[in-house]
Amino acid sequence: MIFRSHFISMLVFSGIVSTIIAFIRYDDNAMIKKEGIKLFLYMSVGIIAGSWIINFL
Amino acid sequence: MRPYLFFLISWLIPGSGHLLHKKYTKAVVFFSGILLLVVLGIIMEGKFFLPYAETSNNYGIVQRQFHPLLILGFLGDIGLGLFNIIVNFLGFAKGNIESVTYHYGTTYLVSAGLLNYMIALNAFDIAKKEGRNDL
Repeated sequence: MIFRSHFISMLVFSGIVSTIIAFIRYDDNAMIKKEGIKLFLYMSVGIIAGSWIINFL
Repeated sequence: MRPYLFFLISWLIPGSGHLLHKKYTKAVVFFSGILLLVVLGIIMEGKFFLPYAETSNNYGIVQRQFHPLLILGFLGDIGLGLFNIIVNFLGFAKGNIESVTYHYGTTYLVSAGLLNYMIALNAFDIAKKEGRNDL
């Protein structure tokens, strides 16, 4: 079994999904890179923020 | 009608629609990305959804109950096309609920299916824009 850490599972998942979506949306290499990084940050930071808020419930 | 064939081919084999459009980098990224999600999902002991849940009553008779959420998960999983058929044929992705990574594995698998729908729609869109009727 791999990825016992949920955090690493989430980072790998975000990385693969954001790469695929960036390639779907754009043809230009620079835009793909920009969109990929943006989506990866949105997902990762969003999940960390959401988890932190849930911690108080 | 022809752009629909691009959708169908791309749904069956991820990235194949883009390969036919001569978008080689995208084809490789889509195929390897979806394959990676599926392989990781299997290793993490995730499962493919069935559209129903099996329950047994007091007399031991097994009944199948269809549930909208299970049907949605099932539809997501069949987005994998041939990968779904191959994985089912090989007997993988049965799921192990005791595993720590079970839910993540299941999420990887269903997300791969949903992403493949997006990839197939993109291949369809490109075919329609370019007015391709050569397939």
